[in-house]
Amino acid sequence: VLERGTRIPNAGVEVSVSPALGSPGVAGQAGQPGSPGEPLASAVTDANGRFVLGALPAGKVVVRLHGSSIGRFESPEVLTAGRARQVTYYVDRRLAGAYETVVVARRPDREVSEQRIEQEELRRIPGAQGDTLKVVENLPGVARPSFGFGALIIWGASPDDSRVYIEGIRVPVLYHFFGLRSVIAQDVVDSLTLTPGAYGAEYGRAIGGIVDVTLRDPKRDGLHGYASIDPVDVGVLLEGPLGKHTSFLIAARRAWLDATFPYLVPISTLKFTLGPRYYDYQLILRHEFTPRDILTLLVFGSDDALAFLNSDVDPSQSSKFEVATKFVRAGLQYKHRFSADTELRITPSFGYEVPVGINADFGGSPVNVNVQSYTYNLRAELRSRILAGLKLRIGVDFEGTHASADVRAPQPPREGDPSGTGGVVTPGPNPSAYFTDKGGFDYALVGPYAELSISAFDGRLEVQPGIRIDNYNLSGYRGTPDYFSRSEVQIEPRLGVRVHVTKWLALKAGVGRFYQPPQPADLSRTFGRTDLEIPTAVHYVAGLEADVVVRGLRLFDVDVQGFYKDLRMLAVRSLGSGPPLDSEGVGRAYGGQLLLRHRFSGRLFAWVAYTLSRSERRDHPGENYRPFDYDQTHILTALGSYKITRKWQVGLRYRYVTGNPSTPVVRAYYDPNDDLYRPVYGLTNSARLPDFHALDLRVDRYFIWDRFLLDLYLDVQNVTSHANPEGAIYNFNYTKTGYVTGLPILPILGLRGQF
Amino acid sequence: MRARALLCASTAALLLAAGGGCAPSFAEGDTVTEVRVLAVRSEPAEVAPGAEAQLSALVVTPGDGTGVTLDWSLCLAPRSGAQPNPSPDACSDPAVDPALLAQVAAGQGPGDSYSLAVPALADLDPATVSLPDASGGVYLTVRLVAHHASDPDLVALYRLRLQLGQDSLNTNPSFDGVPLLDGKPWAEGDIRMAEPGAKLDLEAHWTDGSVEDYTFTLPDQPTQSGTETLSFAWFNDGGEIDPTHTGGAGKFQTDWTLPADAMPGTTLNLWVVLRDNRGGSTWLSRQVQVASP
Repeated sequence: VLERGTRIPNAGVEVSVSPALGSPGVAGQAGQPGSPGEPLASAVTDANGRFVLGALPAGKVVVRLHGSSIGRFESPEVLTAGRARQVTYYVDRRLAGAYETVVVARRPDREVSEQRIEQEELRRIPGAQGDTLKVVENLPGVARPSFGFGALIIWGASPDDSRVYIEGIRVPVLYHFFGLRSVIAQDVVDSLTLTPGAYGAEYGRAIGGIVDVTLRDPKRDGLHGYASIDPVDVGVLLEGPLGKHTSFLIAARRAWLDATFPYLVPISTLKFTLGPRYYDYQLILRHEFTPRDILTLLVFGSDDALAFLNSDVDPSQSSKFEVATKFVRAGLQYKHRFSADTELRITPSFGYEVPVGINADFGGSPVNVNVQSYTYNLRAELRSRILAGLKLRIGVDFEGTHASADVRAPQPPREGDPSGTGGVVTPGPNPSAYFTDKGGFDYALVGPYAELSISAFDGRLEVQPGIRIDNYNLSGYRGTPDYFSRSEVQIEPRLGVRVHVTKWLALKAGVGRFYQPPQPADLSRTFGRTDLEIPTAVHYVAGLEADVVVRGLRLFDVDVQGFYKDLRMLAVRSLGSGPPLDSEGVGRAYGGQLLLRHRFSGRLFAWVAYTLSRSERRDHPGENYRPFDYDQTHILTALGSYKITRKWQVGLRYRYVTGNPSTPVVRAYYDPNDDLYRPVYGLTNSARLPDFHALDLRVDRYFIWDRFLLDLYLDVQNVTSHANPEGAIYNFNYTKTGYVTGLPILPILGLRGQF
Repeated sequence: MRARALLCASTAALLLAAGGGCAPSFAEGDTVTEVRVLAVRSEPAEVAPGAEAQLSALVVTPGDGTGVTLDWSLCLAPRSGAQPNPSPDACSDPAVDPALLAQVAAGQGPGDSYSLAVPALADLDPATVSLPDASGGVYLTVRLVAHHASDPDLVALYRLRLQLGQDSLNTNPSFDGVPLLDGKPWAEGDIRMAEPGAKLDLEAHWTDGSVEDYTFTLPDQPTQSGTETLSFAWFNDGGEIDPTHTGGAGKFQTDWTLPADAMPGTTLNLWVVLRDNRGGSTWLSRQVQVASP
């Protein structure tokens, strides 16, 4: 018994066979099989949706299916004497009714601040064009990046301060160019967990937050797959069994913006010589040696590139720009279950990445940035329940990196720069000095950790103390006079506490100390300094979780959290004429957030996420705190998706976000060398852009056949075409100002066929 | 990664600026409506420490250009951290600390030149010299303030290229003959007549030797070579010039559309500045008188 369209097996379906009306069938005694009102035989489908009925009399019969997921279904059959009959029933899944109760168990050992989204919700978020990982933008505590800037800004932390893991393997980015799509294809993701702060000892090296993505196992009940297309990209996925104990999943996606972009950016002098294009790919190969021993090969990667020539009649505006960024990760994940209470996981992985490669020429000023790195990692963890109410998690997290850089460029922008992310679009080339650097850096980070989960008073008290000891070994410029090598040990205690006051209400709190290695670029002898301190933070989180229950039905989850982050030793631009950076920066981020969520239950899911926060930085002692580039006081996201029928589904998302801070121009002077006026800025981030509003809509129309499902969707971003300022722009001498606004209404029509 | 942030910011800005987003359109800066500094020139274009430079400026106002006085000085505000140039914030401040200024020549007329004795290297604080730019040059900052009775003071900061070591010496570019108006040579002092709203076809070229090949040496780097990029900038005090800059992509022509409501008998000014990307420049001007339609 399979679901119509998707062919997902229906387990637990009751199958019965009765004589058809008027059939001569075998008439038994009342109460006997075959007697009126009594089935001839019955069975229940297994996990693969299969059922077997024994010998049945020949003739016309009625097969009746009944299950909570499918309702009732009948099919007439004719049985022939002496012949086995195999039948596949494709049945529609039932939309959940008002009388249905969906019980969602809370996951044990979860972090205090985490928010977890399951696959079914991930697929239905409006405004994300079906891209599962873009859902993270809608979670509380996550700031809205500027248009086209796919950064992850969590609880007021810099994008560099947060990490993304896929199956425990770190990936450098979550999004492709412009933030249009994430680097993992649809349907590969099983769940996404955002932990914005005070996360456990399992992870480290990030003073911001953690995004943890788990991938699902390949299907084993037959060959499945999909193909999708929309104006941004095309994608395919294929999965299925390879023998009895092995299964595979392979997916790939490629943008075809190189074909559509010239229509989006109709500038005759701008000629794209490559792209913009990206592709990504995923391979999962899972082998089950025994039910206790599972080995999974994981390969995923991403590759973005674009290049253009802008031949302007004004030589200072002529430009050549080639940029590429890519990564690949390959890992082997071995799971061994010693017993129901003890499991070992070992994941060695290797990677290669080009975080950025730029070859450009702006008005005769060349810029060359060639950076690449190799990573070799090992994550090993043993989880065991030692006693009733006492679990232990112990492991080691090793990360090795060799990065090499060859750069000729101006100083890159940093957080707090007026021409950086804060939103001032400055015309013309900058009068920057050019710096060169060439060298290699080696990071060897060893982080053993241990965490206990203590459950007491019948589970009403949960305490998770943990400790992580991270050993930072950093070196660079080997074989040169600037060679440096440092080794530091940082001890990072973590604690999470949850008290279940009632069945429906829990109080929680967490605290932890966190460190992270300096960015390799910041250890450059010309762009940074080699003796930068290791940035650190202390996170404090407290809140409550509650379920709103009406007549025994859990209508909403409520999650309320307050947080405070104390950030130290941040790399900032130095004063004086010494090295460009020092570690005098400090920061603080504080606020509260609310998540009101109606869990997915058939027809409807919806949530409201609201964050009230303040994130500030102080670059040097004695200075005042200033707003962080992405300090957004109010972030409100309300979204919902409703299945009207099996064939129609509609979703809406509304976002309101306080405008980003910006730095005003207080005057300008004329630069005769470049024939440009240059701005002089006021206090950093002392002004703000207007607030952001956007309403997004998604409509799905499903066409369902027994073995095939076609999803035609319309995803409309910014339905009201609200002009959202993304940056300030000025006239030639900075006496007039206006705003660059993001995209107006953007309808995207897509098609996805699944079998 | 910070480099990735740079990349994303660049591509985002590209998208926004290039048409992915929407931006208001402002008037170009080709039309002079108040006192303007259009160019500053040093002769020689690159000067050794301890030598002398002759500085002049093209400072204009709408109409007759009278009533402008200039203050010249060397700004010795130190740069800090990653700042490439001696602090432009301090140097451009109308209320700059006088202690940061040297060799003031006040009250000069716009046509005057100013002789600057460039300090010897031993007398210069290294922090008052810029870091090398894309062409390998380092610069001192010359501050020019233009005063005009009816406009706010205008500050210009000219980067005077210093000759250090044995690298190639920059020279000022030069016009190849005279500019062309509607395909015919337009000599100095030749005031052309044109009707209101007329579109004038303008063209200018540089001499063969203006585009210089050069070498430069950065600290800890082998000697590198480069070729200058030149451009013409076109200005007027009535009408609109499109494009405002020429010389790129092999294009040297531009159009000057006179104001449709220009009064007959009015004299309109055209200024053309030729500059290279190493601090060299030269200029010329022409006049058109509005004829009766």
